[in-house]
Amino acid sequence: MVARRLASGGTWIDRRRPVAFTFDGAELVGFAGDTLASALLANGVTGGFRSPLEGRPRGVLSAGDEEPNAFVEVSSPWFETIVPATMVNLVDHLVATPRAGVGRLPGDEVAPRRATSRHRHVETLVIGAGASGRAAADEAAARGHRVLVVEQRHRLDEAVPDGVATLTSTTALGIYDDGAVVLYQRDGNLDRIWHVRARRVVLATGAHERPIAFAGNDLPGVMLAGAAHTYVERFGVLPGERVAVFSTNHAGHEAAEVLAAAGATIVAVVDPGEGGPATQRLRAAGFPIHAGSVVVATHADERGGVAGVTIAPADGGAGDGEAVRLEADLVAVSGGWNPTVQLGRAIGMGLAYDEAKACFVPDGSGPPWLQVVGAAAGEVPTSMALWSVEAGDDRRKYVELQRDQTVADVTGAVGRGFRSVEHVKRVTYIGTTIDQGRTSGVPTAEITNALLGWGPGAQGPTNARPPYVPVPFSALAGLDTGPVLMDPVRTTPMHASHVARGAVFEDVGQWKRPWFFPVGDEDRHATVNRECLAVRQAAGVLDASTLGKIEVVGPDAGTFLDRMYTNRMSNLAVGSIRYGLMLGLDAMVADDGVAMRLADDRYLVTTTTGGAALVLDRFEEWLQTEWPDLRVFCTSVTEQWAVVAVAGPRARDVLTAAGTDIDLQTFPFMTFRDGWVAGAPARVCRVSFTGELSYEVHVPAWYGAHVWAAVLEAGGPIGLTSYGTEAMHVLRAEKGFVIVGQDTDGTVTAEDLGMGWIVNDTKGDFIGKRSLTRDDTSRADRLQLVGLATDDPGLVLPEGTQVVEAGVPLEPPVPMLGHVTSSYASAALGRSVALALVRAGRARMRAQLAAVVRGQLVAVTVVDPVAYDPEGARRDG
Amino acid sequence: MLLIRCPWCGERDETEFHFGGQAHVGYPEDPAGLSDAEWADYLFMRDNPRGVWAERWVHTAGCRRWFNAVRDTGSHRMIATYRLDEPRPEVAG
Amino acid sequence: MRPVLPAHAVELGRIGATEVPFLAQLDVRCDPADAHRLGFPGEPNTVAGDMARGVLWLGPDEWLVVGAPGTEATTTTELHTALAGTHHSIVDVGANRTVIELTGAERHMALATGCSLDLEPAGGWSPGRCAQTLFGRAPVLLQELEAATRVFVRPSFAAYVVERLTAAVAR
Repeated sequence: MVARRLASGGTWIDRRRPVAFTFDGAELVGFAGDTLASALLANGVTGGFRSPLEGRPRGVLSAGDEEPNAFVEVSSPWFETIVPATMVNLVDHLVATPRAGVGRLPGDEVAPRRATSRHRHVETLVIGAGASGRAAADEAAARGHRVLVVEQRHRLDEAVPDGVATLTSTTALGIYDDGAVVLYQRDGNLDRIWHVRARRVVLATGAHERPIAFAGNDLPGVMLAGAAHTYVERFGVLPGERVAVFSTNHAGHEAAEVLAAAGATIVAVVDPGEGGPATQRLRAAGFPIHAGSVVVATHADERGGVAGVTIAPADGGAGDGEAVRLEADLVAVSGGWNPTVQLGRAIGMGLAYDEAKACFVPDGSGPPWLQVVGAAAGEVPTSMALWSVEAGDDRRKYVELQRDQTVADVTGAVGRGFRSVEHVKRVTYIGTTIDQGRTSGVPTAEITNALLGWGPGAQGPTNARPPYVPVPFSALAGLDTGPVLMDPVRTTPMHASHVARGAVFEDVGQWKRPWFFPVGDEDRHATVNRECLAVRQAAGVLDASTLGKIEVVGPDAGTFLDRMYTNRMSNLAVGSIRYGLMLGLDAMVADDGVAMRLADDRYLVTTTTGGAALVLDRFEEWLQTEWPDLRVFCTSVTEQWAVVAVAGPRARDVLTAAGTDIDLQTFPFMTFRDGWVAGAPARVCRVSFTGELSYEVHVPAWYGAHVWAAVLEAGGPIGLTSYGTEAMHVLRAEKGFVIVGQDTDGTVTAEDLGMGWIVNDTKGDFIGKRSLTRDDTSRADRLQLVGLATDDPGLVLPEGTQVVEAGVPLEPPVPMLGHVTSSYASAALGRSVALALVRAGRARMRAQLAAVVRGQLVAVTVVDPVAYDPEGARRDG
Repeated sequence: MLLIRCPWCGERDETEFHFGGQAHVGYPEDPAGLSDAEWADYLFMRDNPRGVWAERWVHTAGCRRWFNAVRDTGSHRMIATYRLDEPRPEVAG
Repeated sequence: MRPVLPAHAVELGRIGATEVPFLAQLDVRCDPADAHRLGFPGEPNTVAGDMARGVLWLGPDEWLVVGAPGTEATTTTELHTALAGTHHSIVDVGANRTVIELTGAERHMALATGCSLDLEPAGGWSPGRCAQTLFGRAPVLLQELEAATRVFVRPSFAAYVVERLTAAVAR
């Protein structure tokens, strides 16, 4: 192959603007408007690439996105892992390195690509800005549609009409349901993903020229004829001096004319058929025509590029009997044209084989909002069908250049019994390449059809799937990356104070909750011990704002809650609070919380932090789908209220010091009072998750930060200590209080938890009632909640530890009795505490069992889950 | 990315919705009167046709209303949506 | 009382973003016929009223009544009276959402980086429209005014919305 820049011509290049670039370490110069491929050819770089599997020398085959050989990594002025050189727009200081089929992830030396995304709605989306795409856009704009035209290349051949928006350097990655199209726009170092919703999508993606398989068809110097034509016309580059044209259709003949006019010597125009008018025209103009012939071999020079071809009569052809060998440095091949249909196929567009054109064209099926125009719809030249040449060594006739797979490989697959082209694809890897079979799919299908004795078109080409081109994950992630934007970080109104006071946070779903508040250089263990002791001995304050809160209002509110909870809520007195358990229809514990009766027809229900949305969703589901006659309205107020929970024997003193008009002396457990705390309107609830005297102060969230600060300040002299979720977990575990989702996992019933008392059998039906009496739900040997006391008081069992019989040999299978669900060091008790689910646990009280810790048996005793203050004497302070 | 027509809010991306399984499976009148097998049938067994069927959706990120839809599970195509108090529309697949 | 965002106004370059804190907001649920009687909007995702008192459609039996700070108590009493004898619910949700008001010609483009609604006039979005939807991963309620867009958002999601808008505007 001998390539060079022509003295003039090239509609896309600007010869006044040279561009310096580096390829494989060599510093070269091209023009603005060049692609990397055209600039390489202009500099006489005709090889420079290698095949991925066998390392065979390769050169540029095409001028477009069907390129299977010339892949590069771009490392300057931005990084692109792997991209075909034919699609790289030449810019100043471009640095490109050849890559054989596989890219690499850049190191830290490269600035990461930035990414963003945007949604866009249009009435008409046109994919492809060629002539037929522009016509479709024009027509849609005339109808008053919002029209968007997208074009892979960095420029348009011609302007689009007014009122039509365009995006260049933008590839449609995939077309999805109902006109959803994902576009990938590259803008320097910025990737932009467009999520388009179009009422109508027009596929104007053109067609890809098809190669022909013959021995030695993979050498540098074998190029698609249309591509050779494009390099002359668009880039002013002559890809070869001595050219053999091998074509089944008039595109090859046009290429011959253009190359000749640019100064190349056409050594042969090889036409496997008798040739039509184009052939006659060329013959009349003096071109050397070889009708009824094929190229049967190429011959390489010492650098591995094409130096000659052998032409022979086609099998059964009417040409002269002898083979001819000619010198040539470029073989321009055209085996026909494949409409570019991959995007449409993936959304259900069907194909039919067109005999006259020897290709697959859209058959009219597919979504009604998808339209195909132009070459993509089948407006391509007629062509005889020639997928591979009969003569020559099948092992050298390449069908899939990116996988070094040949006609022999396809024959081998069929010989091993594979019939479907999709199976041939998987066993040979043909079509699993970056270009997903743009040059290999149809020939592979047709060679398979022929080997099986089936006619052309019996099977279509292998499927291609989105994305149409490789796309970095960072582009798809867009803005949704990093600690702040990957998922919303939700904080309470008191968050700034927690941060200022050095809190260490834990993630509870999307929320950041203070985990513990270290002082000085305390470690977590020391901090949690201090916080727990403070709550048991003086007072602690917890930010409980994240609890879910729902107002349930209406004459049937009580009836409704009776159906959603296991216990009765309809007889709750106004001003009172009741703990409730919610089951799934399968009777497994789903969530818990308290309900407060604000008025005859008004309740406020709390849920776990993680359960807030789920509980409201479930309330609405039952009301809307099953009980539309119940007069109940639910409203979420989770963030309407901030909650400051003060717990400990001195909790009353703390609230008094903070200032309140509520009578704290005659305030019964499980009731609430409305009034003022620290100057803010408040609802104070006497509930306790710690077992100590405890007040939950609910204030409108606008006052949350103020009340928190006021309580902290007022409580300081009393020894008030802020505590976090870790201490909260320890304190409740000491009292045997379960946490739904920690001590339950969707397979645990109320009875399993020892909470049979909360199930009211005398009221009517409620969610989960029927499943309570299933055989499996009422088995005696179910896993039941117990406490576990380790013989070694200092040993804290890891959560999840398996529980087995004492002394059992640890050879599989070892019968499992259960597992540890919660486990902590208890400062109040001076020893470890653990809750566990153990088979028939309540019947094993005081039994000696074992826990498996790091492969060793550790002695444990089954105890009551309530380890601290079992009489509940501390509750009232 | 389906486009789902909420009967109130109109067409929205499927990410605004939550799928609710087979439609027209009502809570039994008398759960206590069902055998364990019959109750398990209600709890766990649902149709799974390839083709047109009726299913439930809820517009979680929008108006939070439940509604029904007719969809072809083979082609993934949403054929119709209808309110809970409307009859299932007669539609060609 | 403290607003949600540390600085009332957020720097978003060509787009203005200001928190409008402490608005009176009542979540009102009642029968559609009663709502109609009160002049609440019956058409989904529309707004009735004005800046002194606006009523946003949230669902076939749910509306958000928005008014000036401090007016929630009187409005609640007024609505209870007007709905007396009917099954209804009026819940103060003033602190349950804060409001970020966006101005500037490019505000819809900024929202489009995280919101899949058609926010162009050609798509039917205009003053007097509202919509509950998602911005990125945050549930939001959008209300279109004459020259601004209000984003009603839970306080816990407000910082995320601002961060995401900021990141989007920077690109």
